Amino acid sequence: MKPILKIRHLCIDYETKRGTIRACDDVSFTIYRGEIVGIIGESGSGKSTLASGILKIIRPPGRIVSGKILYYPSDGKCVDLLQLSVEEFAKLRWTNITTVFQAAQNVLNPTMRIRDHFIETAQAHDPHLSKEVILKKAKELFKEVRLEERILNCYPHQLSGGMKQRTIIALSLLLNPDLLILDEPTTALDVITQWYILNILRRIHEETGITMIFLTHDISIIGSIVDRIAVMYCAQIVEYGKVEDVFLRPSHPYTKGLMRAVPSLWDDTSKREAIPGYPPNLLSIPKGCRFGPRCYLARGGLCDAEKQIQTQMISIGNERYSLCGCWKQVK
Amino acid sequence: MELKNASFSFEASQGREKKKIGALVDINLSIEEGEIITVVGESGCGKTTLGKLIAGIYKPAEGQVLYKGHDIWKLRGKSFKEYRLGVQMVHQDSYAALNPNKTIFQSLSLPLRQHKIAKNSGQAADILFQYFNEVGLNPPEIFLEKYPHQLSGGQRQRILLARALSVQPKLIVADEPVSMVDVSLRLSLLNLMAKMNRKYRISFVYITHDLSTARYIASNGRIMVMYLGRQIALDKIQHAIEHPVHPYFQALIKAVPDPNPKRRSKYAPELPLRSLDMPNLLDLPSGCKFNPRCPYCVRRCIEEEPRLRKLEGGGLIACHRAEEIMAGTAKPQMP
Repeated sequence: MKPILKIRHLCIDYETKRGTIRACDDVSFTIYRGEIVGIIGESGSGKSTLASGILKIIRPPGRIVSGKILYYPSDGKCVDLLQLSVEEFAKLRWTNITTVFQAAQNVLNPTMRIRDHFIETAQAHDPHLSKEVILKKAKELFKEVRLEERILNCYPHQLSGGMKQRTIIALSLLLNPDLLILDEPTTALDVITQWYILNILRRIHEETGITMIFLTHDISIIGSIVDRIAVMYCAQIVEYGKVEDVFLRPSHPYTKGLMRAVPSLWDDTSKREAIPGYPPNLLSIPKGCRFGPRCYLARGGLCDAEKQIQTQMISIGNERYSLCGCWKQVK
Repeated sequence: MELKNASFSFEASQGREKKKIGALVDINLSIEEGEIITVVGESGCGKTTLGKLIAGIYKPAEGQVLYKGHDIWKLRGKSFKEYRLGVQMVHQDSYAALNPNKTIFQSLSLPLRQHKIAKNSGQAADILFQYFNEVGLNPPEIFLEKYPHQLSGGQRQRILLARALSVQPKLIVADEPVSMVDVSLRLSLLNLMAKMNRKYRISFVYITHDLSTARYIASNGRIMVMYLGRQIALDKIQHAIEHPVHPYFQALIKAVPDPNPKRRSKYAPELPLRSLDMPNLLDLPSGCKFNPRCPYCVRRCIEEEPRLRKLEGGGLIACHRAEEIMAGTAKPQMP
């Protein structure tokens, strides 16, 4: 397996009036080419910050403090995205790394026809491309996401939420990227539309082998599509591993709690249990293990959360990593 | 609470002509004391409008909304007040539902003083303390002096629930109460509502598009499925999910992603739908409103709109071919 993205010790801060928030704290993990990686976490856990970091679109008051994001293009020459100048990165953006933003429905310009979005995007990277070539490619992509060609002549307000989302997925694939970051791509869509979008993404992945990073708070979606999962809690990645392992044998109490907390359509409802407490405020992070105050292991006296200062994930075999020192006790 | 042939429509202008959108058409529903009913459907199907009709925010264009057997729009004085207190609503967006310029105490003590449940603010505080403890906001005094923006979404949603509870209602309409709350907190809110239901015998109308949470909260209750303003199925929830009959509900259940990666291969089959997009609300199809998407559609479905009827060995359903579908003799036709 070849890596496509290696993130090492990435720290991203936001300055606020009441102090500095570290929204992404010492995050390290590796994404392999051709895989779908899911990042789950609650709101405020730092998922979107991490994605913005990879895309280098952190704006003040936020800033990237330290770390490396190593990108391996298909020709094999590794670059550190954080060392690139604005112009150099602009060349990679959309041709190599692209994104579908959260609330993507609002990304389209309401005064422009859909076709002009495609033309503008393509010509921004290569001014010599003719409109015919771009539109031909756009039509191919529309077939891929099962939209009719006539939609190209529509304005955004004429489309439904699901159609807009599909348009944006097509737009993100316009320049044949090899890494696609999807930030909550199906939130705010109905179940049937959501099913449809996931199906499209899965097929695109099968056909093109594109690497995808899938950010969501909805575990049920992730189980059905991704190969590998990173679980984020309070600005840290607490667990990373293959989807079957993480789902069936979690090695962090937070993951375990999440799995137990999500009602499904088929399981026994009486086995569901909520995680006690609330996620901490990032301005006053608990000492030691950040999940400690809500953790059943810590409350059961199995772990001294105050003393435990695990900052790096431990490798626990089978390409799995956990931030919990007591991962063996997680059952 | 009972709805009798209730209809409601919005006016929309398309170019020069004015059209009516039937947001709710001929709804019949009775809610028993202590019952939990969940209402599911895609966005735009009229779920929220139904909630607002029950809470007396909208007046039905036709039909009646009855509370303890009396039409709520004919109630006056004391009996109207009793209804107003008896039916409370918890909204989806907890931030929009609280006045940002007032502290929680100011917002929540107002209805108590207005309805003379509390004689003075000291008494109001006592009542609120009791309910804040109940919904798990401990210690209460910290939360009462805060402004809405200082609280998290989960906490605000609990406050809304405490506000609804503080006037001792008989029925709470909860409109997507957990859809904007984090997953780890969702379950505790659902548990809380189920507890209130058991403890005070408060009925709940739980409006959602998430079948899994619906099944979780109303495991003994009923489910009502809506499509384009129509009731298309009404049944015991457990039975309905295990044996879905209406083709739309079948598709809805199939579309729910299964979190277990081991069962992933099962996830792949196509949805039993002919088209994935909803028809335009201003230009509805004739006959059964689901016919352009339904794989079981026959001529009768285009000509005649099915009525909600009792199905042998099932709940209420609005589908001409329900018996055939249940017996497995109807053949789905896919494009």
